[in-house]
Amino acid sequence: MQAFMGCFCFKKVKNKPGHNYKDPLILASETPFTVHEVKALYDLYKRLSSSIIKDGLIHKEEFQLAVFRNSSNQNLFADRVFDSFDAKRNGVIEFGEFVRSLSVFHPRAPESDKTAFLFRLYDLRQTGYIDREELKEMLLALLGESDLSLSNDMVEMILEETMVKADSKGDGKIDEEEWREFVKNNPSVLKNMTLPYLQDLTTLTFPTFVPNNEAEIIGRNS
Amino acid sequence: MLYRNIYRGEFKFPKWTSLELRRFISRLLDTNPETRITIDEIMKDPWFKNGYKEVKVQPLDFEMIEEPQSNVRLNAFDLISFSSGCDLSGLFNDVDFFTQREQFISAEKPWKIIERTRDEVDKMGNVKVISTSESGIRLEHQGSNLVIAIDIHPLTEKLVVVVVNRRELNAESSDEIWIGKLKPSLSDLVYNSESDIAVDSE
Repeated sequence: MQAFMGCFCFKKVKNKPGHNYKDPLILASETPFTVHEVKALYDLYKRLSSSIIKDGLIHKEEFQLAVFRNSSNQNLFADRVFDSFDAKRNGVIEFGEFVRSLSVFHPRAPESDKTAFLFRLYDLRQTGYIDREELKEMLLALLGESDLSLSNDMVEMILEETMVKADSKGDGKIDEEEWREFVKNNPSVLKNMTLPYLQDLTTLTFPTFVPNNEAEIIGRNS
Repeated sequence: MLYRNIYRGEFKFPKWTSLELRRFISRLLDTNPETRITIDEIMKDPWFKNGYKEVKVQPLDFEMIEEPQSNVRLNAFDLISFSSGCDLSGLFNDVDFFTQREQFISAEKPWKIIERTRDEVDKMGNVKVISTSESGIRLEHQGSNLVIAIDIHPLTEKLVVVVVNRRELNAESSDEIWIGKLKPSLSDLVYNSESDIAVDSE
């Protein structure tokens, strides 16, 4: 891994499966990241992928550790994000998948990409629609994980109001076209889809992820 | 004994320190404030510069951005996006700074929540209000780099969601200020859905 990261020329390397997929030049050309930023992301990726299982791949627990500082924190949304990153669906996030998925969160990434990513995220059962049941499930999951208490009536009311706004065809589910319209009128929904830090990658100091029951950030990258 | 050494500028270097480090420390511990090293000089010192990386603080999250939609109610998708599982900024949190967010629901009007916060801050003395608006307030702790941002979003006709973001150098000062004092002072403003159900069923 080290050898090809240091070299910015096209070298004939053994035909590793997916090697070109991880080439920093290719990744930089297909995403808003520069080659330097891809290198910085590689630094982050190395830390994440060796925090628990030292195999150079990001596993679910390592992802959870990075996002929550707690590797055993189970969360519906983190699961969905992990699955979205794991494009090949092989249970781990490889470097290429990592960079390509993160590129959607770049401030300069097109809003249409962010909108589409979020739609796939919320379409829990991958039916091509976000239906009322899925929305309810996600809302209840959110209420459960945070300290927000709402009565059932309130929950139903909020669900109903949202469906009225989003489900313009009135068929009880939100398709991608309705979703795009809804996002255009309610841009706040996209707020998690932009990470300003991605513009400053080469100046950031990344944390070291230490698995602990109460994981804390220690150390600096040197 | 320690104070005498500080006053006289008497100290010993451990064996493992390099010459450059010793020079640097001597300049820092100079008892004469006229000749003592300044911040600008620190930035130019050879030992200090070696491996130094400037850390950018991200003020963006805490800027009081006047959102044009601050009167629009939160919808179900807005609520869902409060989940920490959707928030990947944890991957990039600066080593030096530690950010945390929590939220609660309230049946009070925003001005009341902001006023209660101000009252508590006045009592504390070491916390200052940096800015306020109709739907939020920003606080700063004098002693540390703690910044607390409180934003209030309408949810229904009667209810609002209060989002509290903290950014700090270490957890201690914020725990004492937020968890120890400010949060309890707002606790009676938190909406209790059970009491509402009891009222509705009458």
